[in-house]
Amino acid sequence: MGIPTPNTDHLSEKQFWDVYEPAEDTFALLDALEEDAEELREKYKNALPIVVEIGSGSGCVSAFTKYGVLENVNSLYFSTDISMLACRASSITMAKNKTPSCSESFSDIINTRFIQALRLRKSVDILIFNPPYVPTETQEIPLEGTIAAAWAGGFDGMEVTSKLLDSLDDILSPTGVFYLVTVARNKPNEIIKQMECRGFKGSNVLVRRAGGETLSILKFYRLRY
Amino acid sequence: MKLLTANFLTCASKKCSSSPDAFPLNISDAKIAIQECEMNPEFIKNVMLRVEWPALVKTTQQLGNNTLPMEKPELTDESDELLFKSLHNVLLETEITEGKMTCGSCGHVYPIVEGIPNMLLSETEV
Repeated sequence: MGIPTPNTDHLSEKQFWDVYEPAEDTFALLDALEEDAEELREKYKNALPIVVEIGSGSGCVSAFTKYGVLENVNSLYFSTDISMLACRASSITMAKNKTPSCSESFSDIINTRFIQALRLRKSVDILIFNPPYVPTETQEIPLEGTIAAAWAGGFDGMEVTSKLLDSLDDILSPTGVFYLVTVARNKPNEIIKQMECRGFKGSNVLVRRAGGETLSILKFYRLRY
Repeated sequence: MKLLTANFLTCASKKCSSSPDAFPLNISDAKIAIQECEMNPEFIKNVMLRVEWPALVKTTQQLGNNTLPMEKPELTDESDELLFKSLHNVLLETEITEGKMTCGSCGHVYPIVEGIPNMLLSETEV
């Protein structure tokens, strides 16, 4: 029995029409996380990991990770999104999918860019980011949390992702792991090569063709700590 | 947002990042909801390793709760049950549903609306 996909029914309500709905990229990320579920549970069962999802959108991945992948693991779980509307959607998704066994564990949602305003320097144990990866003009990347913030990625679709990669060293704990969604046009192999120069070991853990694009889920650790 | 989250939030402005006045943010006009849940002593012991104690005491006092000791307590299995209970109440059961968080360095006010803190600054403010 696999981990059930979280219920996100409320996204069909008119107020949430501008929130990115779970799609092929979301499901590829869920599958990659589920693949690692046992390893992550074992690693963190007594450690109270800090888990962060940046750009939680519908909250589907956060609920899946918190209540499924990390079932019975106490964690401090923070989800962030630049869109307040997405934060509200995530909040409802978390509440709806909460399992009774997790009543004691902790999650919260913060309306911010990346992890701005969060004091988590070098302390995030599991970091998850499904970024806006669609190549667009730079000016199409919105400064505010409109729906375009969910997909518009600027040059090569990498402008938003690059900002996060630049600060990964400040975010990830010594033994932390980072899951990133990319498409072929982001040049995932290039990303892995570049991150190796910055001290991170990357691998392409899941490749899937969906519609006109090829999705890759990348996973990064620190090379040494 | 949970009271514990305030222990992880600071001003989003880069100028304030090194200021001791930017953490914790000062909470005012708060509406509190208590969400009762079962106590898990292991969780409390673990979370204490992550907590900045003086900031937690300050935030708790700003919400009108003076039950925490000024010094960070050493928790063992024999620790006072009342201490565990008040920590559990503060760390996990206390939700701030509405309120304001003000940076003591630059004065920026971050609103908490429907339980979600809005930590966004405009690009020029960052």
